[in-house]
Amino acid sequence: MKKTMMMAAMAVLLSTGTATAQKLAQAQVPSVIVNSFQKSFAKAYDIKWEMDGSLYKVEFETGMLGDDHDAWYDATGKIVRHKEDIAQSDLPAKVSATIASQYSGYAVDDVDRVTEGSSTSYKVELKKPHDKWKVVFDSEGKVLSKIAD
Amino acid sequence: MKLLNQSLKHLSISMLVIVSLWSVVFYVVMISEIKESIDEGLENYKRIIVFNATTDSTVLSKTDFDAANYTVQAIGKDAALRVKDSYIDTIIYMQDADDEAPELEPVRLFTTAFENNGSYYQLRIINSMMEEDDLKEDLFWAVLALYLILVVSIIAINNVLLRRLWKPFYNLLNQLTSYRLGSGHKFPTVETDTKEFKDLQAAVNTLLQHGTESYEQQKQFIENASHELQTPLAISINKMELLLEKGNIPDAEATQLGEILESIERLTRLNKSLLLLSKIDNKQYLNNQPVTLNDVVKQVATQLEDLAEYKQVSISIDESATLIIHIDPALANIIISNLLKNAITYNVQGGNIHVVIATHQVSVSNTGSTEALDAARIFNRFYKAHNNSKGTGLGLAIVKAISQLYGHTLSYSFTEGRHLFRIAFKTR
Amino acid sequence: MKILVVEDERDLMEAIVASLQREQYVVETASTLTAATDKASIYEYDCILLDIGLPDGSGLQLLQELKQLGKAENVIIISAKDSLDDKLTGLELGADDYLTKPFHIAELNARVKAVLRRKTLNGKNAIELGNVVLDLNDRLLNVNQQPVTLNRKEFDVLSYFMLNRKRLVTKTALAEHVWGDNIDQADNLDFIYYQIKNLRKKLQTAGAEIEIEAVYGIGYKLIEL
Repeated sequence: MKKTMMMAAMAVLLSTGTATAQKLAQAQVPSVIVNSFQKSFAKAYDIKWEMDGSLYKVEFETGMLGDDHDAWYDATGKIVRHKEDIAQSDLPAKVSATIASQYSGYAVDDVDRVTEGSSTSYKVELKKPHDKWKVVFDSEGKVLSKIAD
Repeated sequence: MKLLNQSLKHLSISMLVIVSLWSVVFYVVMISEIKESIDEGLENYKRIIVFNATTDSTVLSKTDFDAANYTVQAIGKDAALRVKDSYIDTIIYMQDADDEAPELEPVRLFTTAFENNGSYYQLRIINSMMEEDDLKEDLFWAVLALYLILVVSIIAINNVLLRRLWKPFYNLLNQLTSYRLGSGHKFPTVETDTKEFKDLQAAVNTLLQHGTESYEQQKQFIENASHELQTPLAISINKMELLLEKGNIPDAEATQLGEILESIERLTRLNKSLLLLSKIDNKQYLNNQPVTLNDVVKQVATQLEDLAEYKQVSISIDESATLIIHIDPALANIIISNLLKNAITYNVQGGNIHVVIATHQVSVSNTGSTEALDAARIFNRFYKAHNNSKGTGLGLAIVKAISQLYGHTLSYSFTEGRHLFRIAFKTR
Repeated sequence: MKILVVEDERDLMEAIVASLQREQYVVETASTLTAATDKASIYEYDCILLDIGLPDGSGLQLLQELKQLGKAENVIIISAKDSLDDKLTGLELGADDYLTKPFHIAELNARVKAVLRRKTLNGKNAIELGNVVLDLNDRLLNVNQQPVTLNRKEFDVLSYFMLNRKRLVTKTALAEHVWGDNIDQADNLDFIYYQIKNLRKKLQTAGAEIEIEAVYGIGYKLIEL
């Protein structure tokens, strides 16, 4: 009993400590945002809302494989940013080409597509033993930033 | 209160509590389940409406609930942004298919807001709810029915199952109720697989075994003791008689010796009575044969007539029937003799005794003290209604013991100033 | 007259012997079955008082042997057990009488007398005392050859006194003998006084040479005038 209570307490500490965002129930989210979200992602499930600064962030999954999505809405219900998990094969050919040329020998670990307004970028985790990079490409295959992980 | 009914009582009460609590919890859970389900339905409907609004602008001009159950209202941006999804229970005027005029109906009202092509709208959707009072009433009757079914089932189970389970117990109890120590009956036995009842039976039988043994020992002891007393009593009486016979004793001393002799003789009578009682208890009188009680009464009355005459008590015998019973003749004689002697001894001067011999009973009634004797104790051993009596206090106890030996019923009553002793003989 | 008393209780034997000796009988004693059997087989006795419970066996064994010798009719059994079985067996074996302890000296005396009289009188059975003749067979009283009428109880009382002449007869002994076994449980024996008073009057009127004398208020004694 004591043990479970301690573990519960630790879990609370950890979650509040790591998550900078404030979790929200759907009923606490303005209806306009909820409706906008539901119109865009009718098949979303495992939906979790939280405040991210002045934005409403929603985490959800879609499809059979449970692709992870993160979407950010402003107070008027406009989608500001959308990040989704995609397969390596869904990367545009130019991005793949850049990876093949500039990062040969690296394995592609995790691929996210980030849409902000009209611009789309791709965040790719590249990995070699003892060497790991987070590289962001634009749709033309140009490297926008790279961060050693 | 019988065990069956006790368990029924406790079960009924606890069932009532359990069923009531359960029904409250059930109601709360059910209502919340229903609302959840309705809310889900409302949300799905909302998605369809919001989705349709993008292509069908008629959706946006719907201001009455009517058949589609929703309204859309354009609102300002600021107001729209403050709206959060809400579900409330409320009442609105509605006209159902079966209603002649609109009437107040309970509904679940869902309010939300959405943006369509830069304009903001408030969307309200309703869903009819069942009336909670109706629901409560229905639930109440359902719960009551459940409770009654439970109680009836418990009664049925009690009557069938418990009755069967407890049958060996009641069986044992019945046998114990009719069991008498020293009656020579077999110990109570019951067929059962129930350990508790087996243990009970074993415990009871052990107890009865001890009881019977001590009872037999006690009976045997009294008989042996009485026998052993006979010889010293004989020696005392005979030596005292010889001493008195020798003469040459001053009168005062002789009178005292006479009193001693009387005491020894009283002791002898007591001892004989005890011996007789223990012999009756030990069933040593089994020389049973048909005895005509009329003859016994007349014979005993003749034996006692001088005593009666001296006490100025008259004896009348009313023979309305010839009564023949199967009994040891010595015991028949003792019964009648003890009853008559009792009637003479505790009579008043100039009193009378009336003996009635009927088909199945003999009664002896006599005048005497004007107060009734203690019917509960009169047949007890050593009970004496008169403290100054030199009697053994065993005469009526002996009559009682003989009656019991043969299963006859001895009773005493006091009516119209007469003491009446009656023996109702068991008819075969 | 020679009497054998078989009794293992010394004190009781003494009392019985003392009583019998007052009647001028020759009394011998035995306190065991063996001793009794020896004496009974060697000597002739006019009466044997036989206790059943003896230290070395049952008196009934001796009775059996006496029956085979044809001497059983003189036996009076004395027993502490008022047992029907013993009584029946004893009487079947030819014993003359059965006396249950405790008994009265007068009763013992009367029983012994009865046995002895039957043995010697050969049919004629009358007791004579002075001018009084009591015919036990025909139940008649003659005083000075004149008949005197007695009722049944008066006759029984007088005959008991005649068998116990000059001996103390207690009221209890008399009541038991004349009025039956159960009368003794009545706590008042005063009624006997009236019976005696009537009998005395009749004897006096007839000029009998006997008288019933009260003894210390405990009983009576028949004396010759």
